[in-house]
Amino acid sequence: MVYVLASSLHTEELPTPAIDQDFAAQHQVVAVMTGGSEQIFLEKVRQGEISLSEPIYLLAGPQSNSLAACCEILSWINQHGGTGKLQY
Amino acid sequence: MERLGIIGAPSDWLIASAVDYDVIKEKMHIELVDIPIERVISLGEVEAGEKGAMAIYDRLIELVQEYALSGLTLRCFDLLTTVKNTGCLALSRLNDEGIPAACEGDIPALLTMMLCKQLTGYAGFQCNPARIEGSQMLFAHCTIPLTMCERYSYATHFESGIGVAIHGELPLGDYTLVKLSGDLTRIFAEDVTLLRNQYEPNLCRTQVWLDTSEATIRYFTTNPIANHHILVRGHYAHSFRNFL
Repeated sequence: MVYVLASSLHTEELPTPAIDQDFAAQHQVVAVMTGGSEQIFLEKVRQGEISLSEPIYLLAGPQSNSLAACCEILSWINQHGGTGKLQY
Repeated sequence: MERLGIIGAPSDWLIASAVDYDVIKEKMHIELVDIPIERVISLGEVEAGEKGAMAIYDRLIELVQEYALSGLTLRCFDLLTTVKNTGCLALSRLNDEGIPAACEGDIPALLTMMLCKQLTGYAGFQCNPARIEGSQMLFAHCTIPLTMCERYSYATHFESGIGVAIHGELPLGDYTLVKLSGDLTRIFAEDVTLLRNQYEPNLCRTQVWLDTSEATIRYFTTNPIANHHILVRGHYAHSFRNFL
């Protein structure tokens, strides 16, 4: 499953994330497009859409504080006993 | 005991940056003082440029004096839609005056900036990891102490396009990248080299490329201490690591 997260803080044009669809069909893939996406991620965990019991693959890009948001999310996953993998 | 002002709660996106006020008091002898963001928002809409940005500074100085603060962190994004200006200039000036001041209500970042002042005597640059190329990383943010800059100019704030942010250019050379965790159980500190400054439009306004190490890249991609890190001049990683 692929989750594409972008915050309303950012209004600039965003690239289309490059996602391996075969991989995404079997894993939780979160494309973090912008800063401020962290609480959107948290909401999806709380709603049970994203599970901490399986690895979470975070995709970071060079734009719009994507990497910054991924670091905050990865830190949260680690604090809560999950497994996060950040790909830049 | 020093007192730090938490002006407004930490920004909603700081999901991995919580602290326990009692632990901070016990281990760092620092009292965290909650101050409602309304104390700044009550300024109302200010002038859009430097004059308005300095009105925010004046209000923060009033709070520093009223609460006897040694430093503060400001939930600055709340100002964008209310005061219609940014905290970037005010926070920069406070840092230049020896009052560590962090953005976005980030408490671990503020504690790290306090540690920078204590261990090095210098103000720090609170910044976001923005890009990775090999062992080099780009860090960026919209405010920086002007005393860290060789040159600077004013720009609008990246996300909002309003207010006064700072594009600073830093001297090349030796720096330390550091972050203390909110629970005070971890500290990351690495001696790095600032290779070059850059200025691209779709990033926070001060942008610096650092030469780091494979270990640092691995840290950021596997187990970072949240987002914001602090860059301070000189090589002090050993001293920071001895803090815990």
